[in-house]
Amino acid sequence: MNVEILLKLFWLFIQVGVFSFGSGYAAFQFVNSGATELGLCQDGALVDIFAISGGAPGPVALSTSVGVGFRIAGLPGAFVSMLGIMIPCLILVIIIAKFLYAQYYTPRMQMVLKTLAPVTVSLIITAAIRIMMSKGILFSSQVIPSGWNVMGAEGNVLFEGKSILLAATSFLLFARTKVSIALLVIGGAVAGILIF
Amino acid sequence: MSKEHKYWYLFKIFFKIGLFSFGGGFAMMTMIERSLVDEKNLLTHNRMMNIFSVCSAMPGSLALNVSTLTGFTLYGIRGAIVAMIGNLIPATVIVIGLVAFISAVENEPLFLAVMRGISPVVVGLIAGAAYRVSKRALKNIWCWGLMLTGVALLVFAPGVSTIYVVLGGIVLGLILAFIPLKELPKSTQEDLKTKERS
Repeated sequence: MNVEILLKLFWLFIQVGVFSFGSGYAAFQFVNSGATELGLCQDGALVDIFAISGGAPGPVALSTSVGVGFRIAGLPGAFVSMLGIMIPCLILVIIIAKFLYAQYYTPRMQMVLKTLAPVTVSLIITAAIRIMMSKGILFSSQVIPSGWNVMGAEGNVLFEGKSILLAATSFLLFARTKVSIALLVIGGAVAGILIF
Repeated sequence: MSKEHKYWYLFKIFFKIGLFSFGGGFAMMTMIERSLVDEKNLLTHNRMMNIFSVCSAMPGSLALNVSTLTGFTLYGIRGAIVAMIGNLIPATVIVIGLVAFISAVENEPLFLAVMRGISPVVVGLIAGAAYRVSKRALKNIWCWGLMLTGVALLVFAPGVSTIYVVLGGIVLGLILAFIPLKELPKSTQEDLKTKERS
């Protein structure tokens, strides 16, 4: 196995861990351009990996990174990419956590955390909206072929009925019952096979 | 719980979260809430929310940062490592499988149908997480205003990335911390009285 390629991969994912802010989607853009610049692959060669890595559970940035590492250098590549993502995360979290918990009960830190709470709610809501926009559920350029699509003026999907119903069902089951989340996800997969 | 047991429990929790959390960091929130807050009382709601807030200001993967910081909050550095590894093992194994068989999987109607079914469920769960935390995080009209401003910026303003919105929140919090409003010290005092176990 080519050690130089592995080192380049490791370095690339260390950078992802330190410099990429935002969602896994942002991390993917970072990986995509970084891998091309380092000469690890040709431009656009990784798009299919991003398309299916959302199909793996867990951290999106991790699954895209491991997927890219595996594509470029096999199992050693996947392992090196995983380490590259893990190491900065662990170091940063420990530094931040020490600072956070040293200051936790000071009025200033409590005020910052209290102000950040509504901001975090806005990030949560945005995460839901972005998933809908990228999957053809709401205001999307993607069209689900077998869906109940309501189209807008410019050929975009305004919303897709089946997905909206499924989302509402999952929200109500989560908020009103004690059904386990694993069961809801499995139920979603089964429902997908039945209705799409 | 003995030492081995608590690490093993943490590993199991985060392995399960890693296996069933599709759709990024905030999709984990409902699972963390159910297992660590509601069932085991290891974290308070407040503490969980703060972990998510702090992690959204950090670079790297939100989901991985949240797992690691939660592990650290509970059981220190060892906890951080255990939670992180538990969280990433399922993802790593599954993604290697998917990429290895990418040509078979990519346009397979069954895979697409499964993903189309899971995505809306994840949306519903994330909405559920927002609904649950909003009871505590959005206590007055100012909080609602701040939240709606954040959503408006993130969804409708192209080029405004998450980190600027979070940094804006931090700066605002620091400014507010220096303004001696009458009600602020009181609420801070309440927080200090109900000090959380760490």
